[in-house]
Amino acid sequence: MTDPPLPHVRTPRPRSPGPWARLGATALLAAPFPALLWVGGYARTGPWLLGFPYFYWYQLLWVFLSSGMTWCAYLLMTRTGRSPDHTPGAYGGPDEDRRYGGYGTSSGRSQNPEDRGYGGYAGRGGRGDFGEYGFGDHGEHRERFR
Amino acid sequence: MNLDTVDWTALTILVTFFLVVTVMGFTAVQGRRGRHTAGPMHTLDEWGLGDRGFGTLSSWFLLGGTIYTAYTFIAIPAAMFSTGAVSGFFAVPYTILTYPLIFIVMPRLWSVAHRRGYVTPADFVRGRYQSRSLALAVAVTGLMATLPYIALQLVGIQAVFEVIGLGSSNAFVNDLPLAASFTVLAAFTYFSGLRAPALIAVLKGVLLCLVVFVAFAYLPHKLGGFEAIFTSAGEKMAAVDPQTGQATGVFVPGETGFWAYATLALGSAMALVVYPHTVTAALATRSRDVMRRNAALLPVFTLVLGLFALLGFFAVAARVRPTGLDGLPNPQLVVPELFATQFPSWFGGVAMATIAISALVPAAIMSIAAANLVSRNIYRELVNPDATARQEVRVSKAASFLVKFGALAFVLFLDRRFALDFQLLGGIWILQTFPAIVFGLYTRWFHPAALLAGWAAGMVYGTLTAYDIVSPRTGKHFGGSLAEIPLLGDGRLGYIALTACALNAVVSVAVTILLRAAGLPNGRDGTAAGDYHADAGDPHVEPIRELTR
Repeated sequence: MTDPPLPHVRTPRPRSPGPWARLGATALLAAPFPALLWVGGYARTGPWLLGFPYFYWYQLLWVFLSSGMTWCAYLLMTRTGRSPDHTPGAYGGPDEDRRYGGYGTSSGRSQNPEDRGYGGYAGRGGRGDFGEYGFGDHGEHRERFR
Repeated sequence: MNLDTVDWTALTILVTFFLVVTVMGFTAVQGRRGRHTAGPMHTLDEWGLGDRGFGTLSSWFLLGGTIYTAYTFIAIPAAMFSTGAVSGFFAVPYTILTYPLIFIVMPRLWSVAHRRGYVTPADFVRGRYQSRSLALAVAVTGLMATLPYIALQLVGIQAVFEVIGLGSSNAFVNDLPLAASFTVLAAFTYFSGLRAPALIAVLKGVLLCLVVFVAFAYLPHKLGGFEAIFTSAGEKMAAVDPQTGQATGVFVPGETGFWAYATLALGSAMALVVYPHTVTAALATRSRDVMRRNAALLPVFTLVLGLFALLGFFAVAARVRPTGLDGLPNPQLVVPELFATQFPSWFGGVAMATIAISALVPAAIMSIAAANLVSRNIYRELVNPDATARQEVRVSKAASFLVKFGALAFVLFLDRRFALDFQLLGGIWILQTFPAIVFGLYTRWFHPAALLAGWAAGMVYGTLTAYDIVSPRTGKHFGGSLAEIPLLGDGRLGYIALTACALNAVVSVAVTILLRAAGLPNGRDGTAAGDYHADAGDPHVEPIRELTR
């Protein structure tokens, strides 16, 4: 199987949460890692709570903390920075992105004429993501973190 | 079989639950699917990904039922019972830390998979790097890691049957219940695909919460309170084991155990993100947000798992003596034994049924994930590049059957110990696909050949290091998952998988730099940057229709 040559793709950048929301979400998601990976910080028996040694109740407590923090991160990433509801044509041209719909599919999805005409790519809010800055010129595979 | 030793009440309840599950499994296909299409399932999407339409609640059950396997509910308390915190309770930080990772990584994988019609992690690697060899490496690694995992689910069911008294010196009679339950599983997966485990996962989730709630409401009273339970566990762990001359286990890790505990938690959390069955369950969700919401909601099961782990200590306090039919102590039986001895028969039966059902859900999903790897990344890639959607689904269904019976043969004909060793290696192996998959979701900087070199380095290092671990108890190889971390000094132990993954990443970076310096092209990329943010409702984000015709 040979793959067709890659067209030049100009990729839009979807609207994303603001820098503060992003920073907050990152901090919330990162917090459990030092809290649980620094084992020396909680590897002791006292103080006991409801009959549980510290080592055990501390970690069980983090189940709740981490769950709550992840939920807050979810709210930060989705409820802020909503983009306008419809931006026609923001996605470039009709065929730019789907020529490789899964590799080796026997019939490309672009053969369906109803599929043509994209709604704007930045159509919906709530699509915040990490690491989506700097996804610039795809053709040269230049991608940077942030 | 000695009919006097069979717990008939528990057995009746277990069989009843099995019948309920069988009916659920076969009728699952008539649920949501009626809305889309009539007739049998024709596409891999329908069969293998449930048409990718699971909402928050059904995904919560499905992902929970997949991630928290029966073997976890058997092995973690068993480890707590026999050697304490380092080998057992690390599962709690592990299943906490995996969710922030899933929150960050999975939405991107979801988007690109829905845009490009990827069903397996190896599909993504194939598309991103346009490299057949790298994709094949990822697919084969996924298969090798998943097969023993399925076999261990059977070990979980076997433990239940053994405690109920369905054992016999006649090998055929002994294995009959296991073979029967697995045949049922294979049949409904064949007909209903992902919908069957998804529906059964609801029953599993409800039963698990119920069982753990009752155990924690009732047992501490009976055993003299939590403080007494923890104290007796602490005493057992501190006692010197006459066989090894060292403490039996670890109640609270000391200085030497810190690295082991942290690396086990982090390495397992990272591995879970790239296990094919997690990816399959994650891709079956309806939208990116479903994934994210679930990352916040799934820790409910972590709490259940943490409480289950403590049942190992309950068993210490209750002086449970888990003894196999062969008369030898077998810690794997500790949870079924605890429920059998501390509760009335009928509730013991409910608890055993819960564990048995817990085995069916992940076994079904793992076999679907493995089957998709076979059909998409081996059959279509190497055997029949022009395979139609129908051929693909036929291969997938046949492969899921084979995979399950392979696992059954594994448990029946080979030493159970072998399945455990293999699963230990599986964890090490699967983490070696992490750089190709997860780094690949963020950057195309790595050269595919470099990632392949890194993968090979990690696989070889991990396998050899694990082989060198000789168990002090049995004197056999593959005696554990901890080895000294090189370059760190002080003989600190760490999870082999994570060390190997670090080596993997270093090699990948170094070889990429070398290849770039040599001016070798990086190859093409079958994905576009916009693919990584697409959500349900965006163009071309829908169940893959081209596979229907």
